Amino acid sequence: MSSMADNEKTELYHNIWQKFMEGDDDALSSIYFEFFDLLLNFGMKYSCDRTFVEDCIQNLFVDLLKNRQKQKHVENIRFYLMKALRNQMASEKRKTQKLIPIDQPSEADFRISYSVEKSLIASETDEMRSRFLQMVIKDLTARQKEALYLKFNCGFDYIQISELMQISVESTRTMVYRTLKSLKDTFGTDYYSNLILFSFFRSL
Amino acid sequence: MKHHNMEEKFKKYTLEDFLDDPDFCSWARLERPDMDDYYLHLLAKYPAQKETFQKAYKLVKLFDDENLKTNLTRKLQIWEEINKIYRNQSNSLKNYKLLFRYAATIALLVTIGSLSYYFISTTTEKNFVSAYNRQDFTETRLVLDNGKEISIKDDKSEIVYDQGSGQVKVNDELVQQINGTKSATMNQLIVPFGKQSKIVLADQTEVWLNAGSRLVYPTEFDGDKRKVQLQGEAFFKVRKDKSKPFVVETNNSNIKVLGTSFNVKSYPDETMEETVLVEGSISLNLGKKILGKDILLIPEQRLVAASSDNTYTISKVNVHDYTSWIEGLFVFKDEPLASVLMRISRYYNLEIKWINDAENRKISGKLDLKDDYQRVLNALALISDGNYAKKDGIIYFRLN
Repeated sequence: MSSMADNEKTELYHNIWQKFMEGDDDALSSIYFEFFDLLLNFGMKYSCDRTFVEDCIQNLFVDLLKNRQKQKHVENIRFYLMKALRNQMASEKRKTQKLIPIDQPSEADFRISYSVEKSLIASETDEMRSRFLQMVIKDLTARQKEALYLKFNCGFDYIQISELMQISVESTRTMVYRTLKSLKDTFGTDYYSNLILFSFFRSL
Repeated sequence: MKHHNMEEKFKKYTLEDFLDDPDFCSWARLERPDMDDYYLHLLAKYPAQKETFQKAYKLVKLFDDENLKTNLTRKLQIWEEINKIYRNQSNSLKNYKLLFRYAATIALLVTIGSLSYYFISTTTEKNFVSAYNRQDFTETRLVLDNGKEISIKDDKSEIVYDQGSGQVKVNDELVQQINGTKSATMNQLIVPFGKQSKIVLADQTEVWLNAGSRLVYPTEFDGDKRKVQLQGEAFFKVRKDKSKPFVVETNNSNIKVLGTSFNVKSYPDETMEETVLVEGSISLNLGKKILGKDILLIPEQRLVAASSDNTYTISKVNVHDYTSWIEGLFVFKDEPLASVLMRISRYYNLEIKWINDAENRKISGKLDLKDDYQRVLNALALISDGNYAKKDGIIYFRLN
């Protein structure tokens, strides 16, 4: 997936979204199938309940269909959908009162450690990586984890992250930098320096 | 020039700078294999940066987590649910038209997410396998015993033989009065590509004929058997009559039934014949041998027999997948793309050519045949990760 292909993809999504707005139902279904797993994985970062996440994705698409005429121009469809899902999940949670709304975050909210706990597998490198990861992020707040996840895993920029997390761009930037700094200190212990051989180097 | 700048930057990059660099981050997420050489080169050139580089890489990788995948059935289920909720929620008159359209167009219950259908590249004629010869006639024809032929223009038609009154009606219009004293003669109904028809036979057995099919039947069933001949695909709902078994004769087999419903697909240009039993029971005699063994089917079983040597397999299926064509839906599961294209070419009376790979590519999905063929082909292109182009009236379908 080169950057070129990404641009092409972005443009493609744009065209498809346009077609959807013009009334082409096929277009929305292709968006649905294209983004379903991405949205699911994203949603699972906020809830352990897969059914709940699926329900939220479902509601999200029903809303898209219902409010088609009200849709505005969308710059980045992937971002738009992820943001919409986050909002959907927050309002569903508020409705059921089972969990704390996302925009009043708590530790339990953003669960980046989820996959780590799950992926403690046989390989020593992986185990070390997980231990390292747990060590690195155990002191981070849910918000900090979320910001880093959005940045590194989703590749969003500060403006997008701030929009998603509903804080100012400046606070986002500060938070990310502060978090990185604290991580840098952890790195300073050099606990890990010999352990990681990049998959990249392995493959050579 | 650009690379030179990047090298200058790289030399001075701090951990934060690396993590702020979207190119670096996407490379670390293994999304940019094209940059491997670039970073290797820089690392070799500036070994002092190696440590910072590795830390940044590790940090990005920390957030690289396992990927949950959803199976297609589940995705389809949720998509259907989405459409259902949407339809139920917006039932105002204002939306009616849009809704109706929507309902008629769940065309795209796609199995493989891919956006390729918006890319329709030019294709060349070679390497393509021809689909199906187009038929010359385009109207459904009812051939009566006196040689009289009736053309039916409608895409869907219904023909009724009413034994009581001796009337033959096409779409409720009387076309012939059969004299009761005359002995039964053979009539036939020929449905061209692009059309469908339903016929109610004299014994009130209902038969739905799919595109490109032909049914030969008597005007009255006198004798100890009710016998019809079929070429193509038909769904039978046979009127129960234990004293007079109903027999469907195809090129390959005789299917004997008492009272039941089942689907038969036996096109002369296909190497397989397929029978799916919905309810009741049927027995098949493959090869139509007098001493041949009869095969018994129970409901929800599908028998596929090779026309060449009458070898066969029986499997349990969801019968709706095989009978939904009656409602204008076309459901297929792990079916070779070529066979799906063949069905579509028949249904829309299109000449379609495809490349050989289409025999091996198995696809699953659901198409709404009420849509025009472009939409259906678009959907199919999406499902199969292919594309198509139309040239001189012929459609060339190609896998990406």
